[in-house]
This record gives sequence, C-alpha cells and structure tokens, in this order.
Amino acid sequence: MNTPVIETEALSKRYSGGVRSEPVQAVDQISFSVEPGQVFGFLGPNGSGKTTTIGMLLGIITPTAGAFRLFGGSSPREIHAARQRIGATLEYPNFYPYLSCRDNLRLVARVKGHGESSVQRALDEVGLAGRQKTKFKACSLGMKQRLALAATMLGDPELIILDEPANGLDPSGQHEIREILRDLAARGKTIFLSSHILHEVERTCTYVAIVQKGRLIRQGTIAELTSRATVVEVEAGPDDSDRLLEAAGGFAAARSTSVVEGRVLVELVDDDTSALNRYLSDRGIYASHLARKRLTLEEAFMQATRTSDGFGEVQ
Amino acid sequence: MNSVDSAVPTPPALTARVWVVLFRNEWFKTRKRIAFWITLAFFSFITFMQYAERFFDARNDPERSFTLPEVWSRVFESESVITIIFASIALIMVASSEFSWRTARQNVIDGLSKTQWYWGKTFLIPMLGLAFLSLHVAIPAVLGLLGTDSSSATGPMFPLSVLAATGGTFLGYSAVAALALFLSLAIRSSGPAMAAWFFWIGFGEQLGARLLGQGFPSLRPILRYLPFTNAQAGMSFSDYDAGAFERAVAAATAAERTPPELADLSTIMLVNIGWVALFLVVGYVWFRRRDL
Repeated sequence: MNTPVIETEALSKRYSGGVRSEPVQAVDQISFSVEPGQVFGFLGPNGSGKTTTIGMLLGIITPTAGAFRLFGGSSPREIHAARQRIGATLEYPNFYPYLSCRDNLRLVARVKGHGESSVQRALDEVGLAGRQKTKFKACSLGMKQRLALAATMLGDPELIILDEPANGLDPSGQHEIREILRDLAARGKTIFLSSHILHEVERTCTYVAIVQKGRLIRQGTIAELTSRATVVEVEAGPDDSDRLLEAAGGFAAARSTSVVEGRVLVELVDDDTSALNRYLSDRGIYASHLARKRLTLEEAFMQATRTSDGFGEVQ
Repeated sequence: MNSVDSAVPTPPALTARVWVVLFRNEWFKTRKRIAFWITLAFFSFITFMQYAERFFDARNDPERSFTLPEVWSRVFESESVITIIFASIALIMVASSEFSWRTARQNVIDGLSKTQWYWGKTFLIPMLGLAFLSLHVAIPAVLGLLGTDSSSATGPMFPLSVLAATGGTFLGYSAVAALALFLSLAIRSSGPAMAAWFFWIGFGEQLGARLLGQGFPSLRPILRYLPFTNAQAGMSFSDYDAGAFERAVAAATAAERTPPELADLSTIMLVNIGWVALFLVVGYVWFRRRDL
C-alpha cells in the first residue's frame, strides 16, 4: 500500500488573540489524506482555514494541536527532508521586488540545491523565458503567478501545493495554468490545489475536501460530492406545470423549489425521490420526467457551505 | 511510495553546503539592492567630506596636520559611531523588508528551515559591517597617504594596531548590530524597528542610563557595559597603539587635563561578544516561536 503524501490528524490552529481581539480557532481538528498521484482540491470560503492549514504543512505556522505526516514522516527531521520534495506557493506570489524573474528563481534554485539549467527550464515551462530580466515589481499579476508556478516546479518536486494559482489571470492564462496542472498530474505528480475557481477545480481535481469555519465538512471524489446532493428534476404535462410547482413546494421534505428551463427543480432534505413521486401522483400530477439532477461542483459547494454550520460531522 | 528515509538523505539543519547557500543568497540579495548602495554611497560622501575638510585645512595651514599615522587617532574615535549607525540602519532595512515582502515565509516554503533562515540573516552583521568599516578606514587612509611625506612620517603609516582597532570597532559594531537584527526580526517592520533601535541607543543608553546612574549610583559600573556605551569604549585608537597613547597622555599633560587611562580592552571585547551572543540567541528563540 502506498504511503499517503499528506496525512493530517485532528490538525488544529488556535490564535490566542490580542488585547482587543478574541481568540480564533482558525483550523479545528482537520483530518484528511492525500494519496500519491492525486489531484486534491482544497475548497472553502474566505477565512475558512485553508491557507492556515497549508501554512502548517509548509512549516510557517505552528499547529496548536493534532499532527501531520509528509511522505510518511512526522519527526522534525523527516518533515524537513520531506519539504525538499515539495514545491509550493501560498496566497500571493512573494518574491524580491528589486530582483529580476531570473534572479528570483536563482535564489530559490540554490535553496533547493539545483543549478542554472533548472532555472532556465522552469522559465521555459511557464513561458517567461522572454521576460526573465524583468524586475518582479514591474511584472503583471499574470507574470507574477507564472513566476510563482516556475519557482514551485523548480527541481521537479513530487508534491505541488498551490494556493489560488489562477488568481488575477485572464481566461487564457487560467486555461494555461490548467493545462500545466494537467500535464503535471499526467506525469504522476501529486497536486494539492486550493482555489476559489470551482470550475477550474472540477476540471482539474480528482478528489475534493471542503472546509468551513476551520472544520472539514465534506470530502470525496468529485463524482461523490456532485451526486450526493438530492436535487430532483421534475417535468409534467404543459397543463400541470403551475400545479406541479405549487404541489412540490408543499412537499414536506422539499427544502426549496425552482423552475429552470420549464422543469421544476426540487431540493430534498433526504434521499427519498419515490416519496416525492407518490406525493405528486396522490395530487393528480403525473410526472413525465423525474430524475436526480447531477450538480456542478459549484452547486455542491454552495449546498455544503449553506447547509453546514461548520460544526457538523464530516460527510 | 517510499518513506522519507529511504528516498532522501535527511539533511542536518546547518550543513556546510547550507551555510554556503545562505551566505551566497544573502550577499546576492544585498549587492543587488539599490537601497544598500545608496546608504553606502551617502556614508562614503559624509566620511569623505569630514576628512577632506581636515585634509585641505592641513594643506593651507602649516600649523595643522593630516598625516599618517596620526590620522588613525581621529579615525578610531567618535567618527566610528557614525559608521555603526549607518551599518545598523542598512541592516534594519535589509532584514525587516523580508517580512513586508513576505519573502521570509516564501524562503521557508521553498525549503529552508526557520533555523536556517534565521542564521542566514546573521551573515548580514559581518557583511554590512565589513562594507562600512572598510570605507571608514580606507577613505581617511587614502587622504592621509596623499598628505604624508613618507620620509617625515613619525612611525609606520599602517601599524598593526590599525588592524587591532578595526577589529575592536568591528566587535563593538557587532553588538549594536545584533541588537538591530533582533529588533528587525522581532518587530518585522523597518520604520518601527529603526525607531526602537534609535530609542535604545539614544534615549535608553544616554539619557535613561544617566538618570538611572544618578538615582542608583551603585548601578553605574554596570551601566557602562550597555551595548552601545560599551562598544564606544572600545573604539579609541590610543587603547590599541602605544605611540598614540603616549601622544594622548602628553597632550593632556600639556593642556593640564587628567591624562587618559588605558581601557580594559579584554573586558570590553568579552562584553561585546556577550551582547552579540545574547541578542542572537534570544532573537533565535523568539523567531522560532512565532509564525511567519
């Protein structure tokens, strides 16, 4: 059995607060595991604890409770050694503003123990070779993101951790990032991706975890997360449309109803779609079409974060 | 997947390779920084103007002199304080900006441990000290050489005591610069760190210590070992050069002043080293405990 690349066990971070501020439980007993070769999406609203969690894995934030393992190692020496196999960028790209793109990468390459050739390769891979002498402070946000990606990929790391890699990029830039991520995934790299752009995650990731208020509220494959929501699409004859909407709204297990392209969507609090069908037929409404609707990741995310108060069990 | 131990040799925190990388990176970042060169250029200009005035005065007025080796008594005196201040300001600017740019955290993300990052920063103390001290010595040396007729020099123009005085000044600077580094990494912002440093050396060690000494006379022997005060005590050339000391005694006797006493250099240097060690160790413990 393969050793997980990342494993966390009840990982927690509590900020003690200052004179005027209350203590904050930024991360609360988060447990998950990232398998080798997985493209792992780490999702959550702003302030949900994503960056703090990644910061703990990368050694810039000290956990207050819990534990984590990187490549199976948990002692400080093993964690430090494991970090040499990781390429990561956290939040905004952070580089020396007065240095050129190339000089910034040169510094990173030295730390990672790689030579000039790796710098050139990384610049080529992200399409910055032609702008390598541009000072970081003169770069556009898109160039900065590419530089961050180049620094991340220096030395061909086994695990790549990216926090909002497509921030500030135009659609073609986002597409390019997605292509790079797919290429990395195809090469067997493990990718841990935190992003707000859910369709990007849906297209790129194989496994997703959703955090809210510091707690892990959902995790699973994209298919599991998008099929678990109980939204039923119902269609009846043209004469029954108005009655269908009204009746569905009165169904005890219906959380909400809406009409999309002539079809009524019913979100259920449980999984019992046949009960809805019986309920409608009892009222003389016979559905010509009744099926569970597969949600997009965005819809599943919205549903998960709306229905969870952040203190529920992981589902 | 292989375990960490079998896949990658576990590197100790500070191997020789890591020290080399840390030094190269710190030097690379510093020499590419315009703010560093501007500070160095401004310091050079002030130092040059200070000695050039005396140099030209000596040329126009036969009563005055600006010749080697007498010049050294002026170089290693109160002028050294300016060097310490400039080098420490440069250090604060270079070190604390790592936090405003968030490059400190990125360096750790890129693979340095916090320990490695911290000790890498300590290279700035000798690096900047040597840059500023070299100019502090070289500018008056060149002017002194231009103004000296080697056949009429009163002794060796570059006695070994210059090296000793440079070393003593460097140690004194190191104590004050270690304080500057500690404040930079603790406060993490150049303006407030600079203000705190100036407050310490200006108010704390001057006015504060004087008031404390008046209120508690028994504390006076201890107060003179505060970092900046102690550093200044070890900067006088006459404490390093027998000839210069004799000249200072003769000048004081002729002026009917109390002749100077030789400073206890070994105690002063030990205290300097103590301050460096204290600030660096406390700074390290503090830095390790905080998140980036």
